[in-house]
Amino acid sequence: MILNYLKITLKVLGRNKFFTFVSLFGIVFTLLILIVLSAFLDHLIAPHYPDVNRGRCLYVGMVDMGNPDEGSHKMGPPSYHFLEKYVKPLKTPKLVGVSSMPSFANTYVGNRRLKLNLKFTDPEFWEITAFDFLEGKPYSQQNLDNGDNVAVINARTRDNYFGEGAQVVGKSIEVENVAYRVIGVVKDVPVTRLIVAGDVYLPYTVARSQAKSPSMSGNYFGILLADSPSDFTAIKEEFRHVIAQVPMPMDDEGFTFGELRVEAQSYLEYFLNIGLIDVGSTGTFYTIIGIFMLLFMLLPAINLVNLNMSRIMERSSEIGIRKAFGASIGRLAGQFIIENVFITLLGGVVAVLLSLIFIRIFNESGLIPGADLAVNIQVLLVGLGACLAFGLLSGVIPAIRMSRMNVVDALRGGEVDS
Amino acid sequence: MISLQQVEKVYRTKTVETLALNNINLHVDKGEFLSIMGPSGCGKSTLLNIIGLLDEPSKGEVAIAGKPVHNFRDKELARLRNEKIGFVFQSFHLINDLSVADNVELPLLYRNVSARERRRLAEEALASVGLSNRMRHFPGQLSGGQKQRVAIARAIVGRPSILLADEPTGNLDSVMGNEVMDILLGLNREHATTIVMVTHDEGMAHRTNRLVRLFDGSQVQ
Repeated sequence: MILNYLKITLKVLGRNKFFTFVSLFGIVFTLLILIVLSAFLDHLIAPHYPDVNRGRCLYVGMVDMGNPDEGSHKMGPPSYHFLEKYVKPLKTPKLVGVSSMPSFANTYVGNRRLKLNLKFTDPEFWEITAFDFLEGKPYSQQNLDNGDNVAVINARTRDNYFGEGAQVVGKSIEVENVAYRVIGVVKDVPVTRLIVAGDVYLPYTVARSQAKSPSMSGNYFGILLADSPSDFTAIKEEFRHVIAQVPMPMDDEGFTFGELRVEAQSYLEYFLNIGLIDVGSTGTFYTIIGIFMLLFMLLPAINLVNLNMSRIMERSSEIGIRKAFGASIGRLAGQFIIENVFITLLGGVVAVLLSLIFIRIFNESGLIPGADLAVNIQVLLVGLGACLAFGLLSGVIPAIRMSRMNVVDALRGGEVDS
Repeated sequence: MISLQQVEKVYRTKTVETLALNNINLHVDKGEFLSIMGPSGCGKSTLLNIIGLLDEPSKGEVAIAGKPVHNFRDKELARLRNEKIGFVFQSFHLINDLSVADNVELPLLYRNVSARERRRLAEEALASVGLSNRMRHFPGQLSGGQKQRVAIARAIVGRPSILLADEPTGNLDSVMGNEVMDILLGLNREHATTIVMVTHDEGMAHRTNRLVRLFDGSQVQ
C-alpha cells in the first residue's frame, strides 16, 4: 500500500518539475534553517567537548544579596572565597570544581599583540571536564600547593605564540609580564562554552586579586559534578541547607545584607536565570523554542497548502477512481498525508545535506573561534520532527478537502484521456 | 441483487432545479445482464452512479445484495463498493502514473491482501482479458481496446458480484467493442456476475438479458 503511494508520489513529482522545484525549495529552505538553528542550540546547550559531563553537572554562578530595608541588591557571580567556604565542602556532589569568568589579558609576540582569554581553575576542573591534551598534562594540587606558575594553553595560543604545531611543554609564556611554564596544550574550545573556554588556563592561586577577596561575589563558577542527574535534588537540597545557615545580616565590602539567594542550577537554568532570556524554566524555554519553530514553519506551510491544493486538483480523476474502487475518505486523506510527508522527508534529506555543508563552512569561517557545530542525532531528530510537523501542517488540510470530493464530480473533473 | 424503489434525483442550483431521475423502480436479479438505453442526458449515468453508490438519490431507497444503503456512512459505502461492485467507465479511467498491474491491483489495496497475493490476482485478472503480456506497461502505451480490457480486469480483480459498465464500448471501434462485449458476456455467463450496462448501441443492448429505457429521467420500458 505505502509502496503504491510512494510510486505515485514520485510520478507526480516528476510530472510537473517546476512545481516540484518550488515546492521542494520551500521545504528545503525552511528545514535547512530549522536544522541549522537546532545545531546552534545543540552547540550551546547540549554537553559537548570538553564539557561532556554537563548533563551531570550543576552550576553555582549567581549570588544575589539583598537588603530589603534599603531595597538594594548586589548580584553577580560568586567569589572563590564563597565557593571555597560554602560549595566545595558539600558532601552530595561527586566532585566540585571551580573556574573563573572570562577575563582578558594581552601578551606580545614580537610586535604583535595577542589578546588572551584567561581561565583560572582548580585541579578538579580538569577532572570534571574531558579536555583533549595534545601535549603535556593539567596542573595538579601539588602545583597549586607549591605556588607554581604553570599554564595549560590551547592549540590556537600555541600556534600564535610559539608557532604552528610547536612542541611547547616546558617553554615559557609571558602573560601580563608574568612568565608561566607551559605544562599542557589542549584542543581549542568554542568561546560559546563560557564556563570551560579559555586560551590560557592558570591555577586560581596565581590570580592577582579575586582568589583572595573575602567578598561573596566575584568572578567564578562552581561546577558540581553528580554521579547522575537523579542526585540533583539532593545536591540542591544540601546546598540550600548550607546557604540557610549563613548568618544574617552579613557585611560584604562595606554593605550590609539581610538576604542571600543562591542556587545550584543546571547549565540551561543558569543561563535562563541570569536574564539573557527572560523565561522562568527550561520547560518554558523549550516550549517557546517549539512554538517559534512551528510559527516559522507556518507561513511556508500555508504556501505549500495552496500548491498542494492545485496539485491534488490535477488528480481529481484519480481521487474519483480510488473512491469508486473502495477508498474511504479516511484512506484517501491518509494517502495524501503520507505522500506529503514523504515529499517533506525528501526535502528533509536535501536540507540535512545542505546543512552539513553550511555548518562545515560556518565552523571553518572562524566567526565563532573553535566552533564545532554538528548535525548529530539530537539535531537529526529535531529535523525529523520538524519534517513531520511541516508535512502534516501542509498536507492535512488539502488531503481532507480533496478526499471529501464527490466521486462523480471527481471522475468528471479529472483528465479522462486514458 | 440490486433494488431501487421510487428513486428520484434532483440537481439543484440557486436558480434551476433539474429532475434527473423520476420515480425509478428497478430490480436486478443475481446473474442478470441488464442494459440501460436512452438519449443523452436522460439520466442513464446518474442511475448507474446511484446503483454504484457513487451518488445518493434525493428520494427513494437503494438496496444492494438485500442491504438498504441509505443509512450507510462513507466508510461502509466504500467497503460495499470495494467488495461487491466493479466499475467500467466509457473513458477507462486508468491512473496514468501507475503500471497496468498497479492499476489492476487498485481495489485490492483497500482490502487486507498481501502484495504478493495482489500481484497474483492481478495477473489472473489480466490473463482473463488476454493482457498477461502488458503487466509492466503504462496506460499511455496501450490502445483504447486494451485500456478498456485493463479496466475490466481492474473491475473484476476483487471478484465483485456486480459489474457496472457505463458505455464500455462507447470509445471503441466495432471490433474492439465486440471484444469487450464478449468479455462482459463471458463474465456474466461463467461467473454469474450481475451486470448493468449503460449503452447507446442497440446491437450491444440486444445481446443482454433485459433492456431498460429511460427518457427524461423516467423509465419508459
